[in-house]
Amino acid sequence: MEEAMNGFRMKNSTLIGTLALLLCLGVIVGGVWVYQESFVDFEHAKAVEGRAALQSEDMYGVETLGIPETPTVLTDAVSYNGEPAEVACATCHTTREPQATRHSEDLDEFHQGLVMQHGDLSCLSCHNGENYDTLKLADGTEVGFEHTMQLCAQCHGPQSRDYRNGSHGGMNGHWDLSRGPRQRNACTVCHDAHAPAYPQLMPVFPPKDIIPPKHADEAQH
Amino acid sequence: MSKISTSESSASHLVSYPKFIWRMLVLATEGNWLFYAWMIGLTAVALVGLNAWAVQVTEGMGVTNMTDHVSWGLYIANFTFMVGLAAGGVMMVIPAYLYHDEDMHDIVIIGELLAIAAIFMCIGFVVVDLGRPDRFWHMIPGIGKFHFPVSMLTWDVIVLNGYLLINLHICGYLLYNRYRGIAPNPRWYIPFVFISIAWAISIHTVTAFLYQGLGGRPFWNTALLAPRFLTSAFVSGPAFIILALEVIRYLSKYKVGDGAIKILVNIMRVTILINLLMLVSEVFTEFYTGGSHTASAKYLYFGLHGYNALVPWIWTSVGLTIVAAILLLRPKITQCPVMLITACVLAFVGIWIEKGMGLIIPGFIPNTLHEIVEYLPNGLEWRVSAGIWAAGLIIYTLAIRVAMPIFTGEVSLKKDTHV
Amino acid sequence: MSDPNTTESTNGISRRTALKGVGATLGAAAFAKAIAPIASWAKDQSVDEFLQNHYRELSPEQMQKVIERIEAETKEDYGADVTIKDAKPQAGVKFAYALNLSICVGCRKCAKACHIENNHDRPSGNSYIRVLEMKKGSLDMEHGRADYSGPVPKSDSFYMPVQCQQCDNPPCVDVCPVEATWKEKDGIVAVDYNWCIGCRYCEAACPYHARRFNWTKPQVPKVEITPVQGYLSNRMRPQGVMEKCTFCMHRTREGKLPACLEACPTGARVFGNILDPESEIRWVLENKRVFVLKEELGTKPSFYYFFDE
Repeated sequence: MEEAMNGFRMKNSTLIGTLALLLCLGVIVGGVWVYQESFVDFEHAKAVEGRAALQSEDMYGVETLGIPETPTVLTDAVSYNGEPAEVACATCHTTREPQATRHSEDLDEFHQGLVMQHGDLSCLSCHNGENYDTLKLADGTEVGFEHTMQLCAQCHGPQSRDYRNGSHGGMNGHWDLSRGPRQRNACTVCHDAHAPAYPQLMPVFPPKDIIPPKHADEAQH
Repeated sequence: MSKISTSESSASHLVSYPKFIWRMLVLATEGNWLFYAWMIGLTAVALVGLNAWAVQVTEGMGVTNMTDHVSWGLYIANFTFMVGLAAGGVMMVIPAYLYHDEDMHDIVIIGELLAIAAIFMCIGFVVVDLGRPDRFWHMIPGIGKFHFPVSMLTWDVIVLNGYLLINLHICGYLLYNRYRGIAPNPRWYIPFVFISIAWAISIHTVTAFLYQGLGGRPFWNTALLAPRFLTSAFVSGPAFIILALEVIRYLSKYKVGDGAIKILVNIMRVTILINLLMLVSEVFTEFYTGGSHTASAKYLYFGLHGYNALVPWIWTSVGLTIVAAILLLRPKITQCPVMLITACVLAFVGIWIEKGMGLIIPGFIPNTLHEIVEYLPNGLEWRVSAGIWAAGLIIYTLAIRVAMPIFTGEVSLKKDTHV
Repeated sequence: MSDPNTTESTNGISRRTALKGVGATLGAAAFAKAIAPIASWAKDQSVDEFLQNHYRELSPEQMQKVIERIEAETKEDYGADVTIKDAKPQAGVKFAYALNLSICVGCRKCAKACHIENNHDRPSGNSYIRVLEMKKGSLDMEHGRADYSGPVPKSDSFYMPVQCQQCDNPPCVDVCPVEATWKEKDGIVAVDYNWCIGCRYCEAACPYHARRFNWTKPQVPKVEITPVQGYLSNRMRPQGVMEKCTFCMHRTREGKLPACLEACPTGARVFGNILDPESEIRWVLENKRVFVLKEELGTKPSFYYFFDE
């Protein structure tokens, strides 16, 4: 009986050894398969056929919002029908000498308090001294206010390039122009032309799930 | 037992098996006042846990302290520990069968029953951790979708249930035959005993793989995790069995030999030291390398950026484990039950903290974006967990209550038919 | 623990049996009392919902019924009239996102827009987007924080919003035990809210903190509910299931831009079809120095970050 038991144990251990080896083999093969399998979706996504030629079938355009118009100035004077009088820039500027200043403090008649923080630029870098109802490019070419973005792009080339390629400046609407239009912002919607640095703002929507440690002064996180 | 004939009279199973089951049920409800008090107490705790879980299902898991940052808490911590306990249960089996230690054969069942109770607790802890326990059927192959073999969780489902079935088979088979007074046929249980040994290792390995395969959690993403799980399981399992044996020795007529306890103590002596060695290795790698991958370990052992909720836990664990290791090193510990019991309790609690609050929670702190949101379980989680522990102890107590008289021959088919 | 009663008189045994009966009855009553909250919860669960099949196994007719049921439930639970659509991926489209770290100012308007668009739980202030304030000179998130305050951008910091990276090798999909999350053909990792069992393994597996769990039933006032809803995206989620950013699938599959992009005041966000060589996203990938988060993990994100030169 004892011998039979021992024999049984011997056979058993051989059997178990074989089983264990087979199990290991199975795990290895399974593992490789699982690893391959995990890329299937990726390959699948790459291999999508019948891609619609979206760009050539654009039906909708991109509209730029907030393009400046020729500015006017509200005066204290009242027109004959009682409305406040709006006058063109040229109304005053035709009778005054252009001043190539960088600071509004230098001005004694008008535009006091205007914050000017735009590099080394003076008023006449962009405003056309010949005709204040227009702007001028760096080479002296006169352009209308509706071409402000072209004026900005002279110096801010990379930003202009990024803007044109959709990676600068907010947008709304459709990513897929074959299915709907898109709205973009002009430069001056976000950047004040006279002080263009994007202003600091208060963040909204703080996370509610972070609890400061009990000894908050210890936290240097 | 090998002296009795192994041939069986197969005719009477239809009669004797239902009889056996009925006798077991009757036996499970009988006992002295201590037994009843113990069972009533456990039932009360289990019901409190059940009620807490019912509230959790109804109100949503927001009633726990878990968050999107620490998305697993006390439940999965206990689950992990329980898998270890189940795996450690078969540490009785290895000396008995691999080294032909005949002393151990008769009490192997104490370990196997522990494995069964621990697996039930594992399943309990997984179920209470589910946001939608009503959708449990989605996991059943065939009618649901079982994401095998890609998801390690499906492997875990397979190995845990397989382990449960194997141990139910071994225990049921041995008890049934003991009851009938027939020597069990080795053909019907020895292969399963060997499978259960390999399987015990697999359950804890697969459970470790659940965590160690996650690249986004550097604290878990270490190849040492599975070996550490096993060594700690082989501390907590024997520790619990020694405690159970001491209780059985004290409360029943059953003679527990010193040989079995000595072997278990020897196992613990080695595994607790290996566990400490692995801990040192892990800690060295973390802190000597440094960098942001160390953040979890820093948080766990010393606190990070003023957050330090887990520091007392882990140092308690380290302290308990070291004291237990020193106590176990004393050669005469088996002759001093008080010291032995102390060592086992310390080791058990130490491993429980290490595998639970010391392993699962810091894996989430800081989170994958390095934000720190701390976690400590709340009352509801403690109630649910205590309920599952109580339910598991009910299962284990009843199993031992039934198994012991059968093994001592106090209850048998012969006696039942003659009364 | 031994039982001395085997030879006791029948009287003793019957008294014992009677006591056991009383005990069992009391136990059963206590059990019923303990489990009672479940009963009230079960009343609110519909059988159709319980038996509902996996998203990818539903026929169009079944889907129609499911959508009608969910619309009715939303009306009942929230009082809002919503339309749920199940927009499918378009052929030839795979979505990708890029974020310009040079111009993100950290205003968290994207996170807020996400909160509103996706009908997130109001009390918890949930959002799929987490904005990290990072110290200049390091890309290590260890040196970042999400709970910053005060005027932004600070001169010593840059800001990094993180949301689902829609990985091409997503760990969250691999670990799900019931295939409740998977990768759609246009690259979006979707969740079937009616199949998820809520084990949160995906939340542990995600290296980008992109997944969220519905710890309670989301609370949103009727008037604040976004009525245009997608089945796999912003419809009202049940309690106890996972959810995540879907690149606003209900918008983007209709050709629209995601809500977070529209909310961005600086245009730091670039979204489009990576398979279209003329798209903005392709221009960014070809002309900027882009990187992905935690590239070493091999997750292959579809979400890119870049700096201007």
